[in-house]
Amino acid sequence: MSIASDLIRGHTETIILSHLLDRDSYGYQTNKSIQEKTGGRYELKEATLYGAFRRLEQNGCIKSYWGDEETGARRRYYSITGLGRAVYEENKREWQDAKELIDTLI
Amino acid sequence: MSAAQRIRVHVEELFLSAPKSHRTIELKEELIANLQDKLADLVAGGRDEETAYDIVISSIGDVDELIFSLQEQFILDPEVIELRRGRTAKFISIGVGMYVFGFVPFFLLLSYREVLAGLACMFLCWGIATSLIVYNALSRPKYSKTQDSIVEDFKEYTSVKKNDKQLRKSLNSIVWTTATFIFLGLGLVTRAWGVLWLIFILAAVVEKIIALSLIKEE
Repeated sequence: MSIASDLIRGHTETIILSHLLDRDSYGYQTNKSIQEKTGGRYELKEATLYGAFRRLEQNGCIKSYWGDEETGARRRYYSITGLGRAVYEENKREWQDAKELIDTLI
Repeated sequence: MSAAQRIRVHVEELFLSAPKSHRTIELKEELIANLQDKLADLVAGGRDEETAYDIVISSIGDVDELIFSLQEQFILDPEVIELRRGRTAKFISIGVGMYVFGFVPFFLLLSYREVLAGLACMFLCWGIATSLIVYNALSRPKYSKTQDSIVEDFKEYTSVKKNDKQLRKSLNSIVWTTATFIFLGLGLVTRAWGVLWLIFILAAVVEKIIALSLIKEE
């Protein structure tokens, strides 16, 4: 797991963007879905997750708004922007290239 | 204290060194809400509260970078400050120069016994000088908030107050200098000293009017 997390860390932002492609989401939901998709093998640290949210928002890749829950604490939702989608596509293409390259090498 | 409350306390402690701004408060609220969601989920999944609390706390990770990102703001660009200082120096020196220069046509025309023309030229010079100095004071950049914290609010407040104070001071000195010169100038020419002293009462009235209009603007 520790080797995998080193490798994955560089793609945290792309992973978050990918999760936001279909619907808006909040922090815990994002992390939970990452956990579920990987069968519990991978989970982001909260600090990493919110650091990435912050950077993405500053770069204009995502926008945030406060939800209006009737019960419990208010949640902050994130939604992907047009720029965010473009960045996602670009990052994904780069990853595909890198993966192919590494596959031929090791 | 319930585990949910303990999460709040823990997060507050983690962010003690973060700047006290809206952004920090929002981030803390967001973090607390999500951690409490996670706790509730774990408890619903069959964990006992103590174990769930430990899992949640250990999942937070290192918040140093997060705190640092809350501080990443820049104060006024030094180049802009330098540019402003140069402009202020130019305006003030031209203004003061025109106050002094105003006497030249006055005395020149006085020697030709053209008192009124001399006075008119002098006041024209002073008028231009006054506008320059007042414009300089008014167009000074106000301190703009870089971080919406209480400290920044206070800095902005004091900066606005200081700006007003400077403007009021320069206007007052202009009023009183002008009054003195009118008193001396007209007095020497007309010898009507008995009436001319009233000019100082007028100056006092003008000063109060300026003070009032500045308060009104606020």
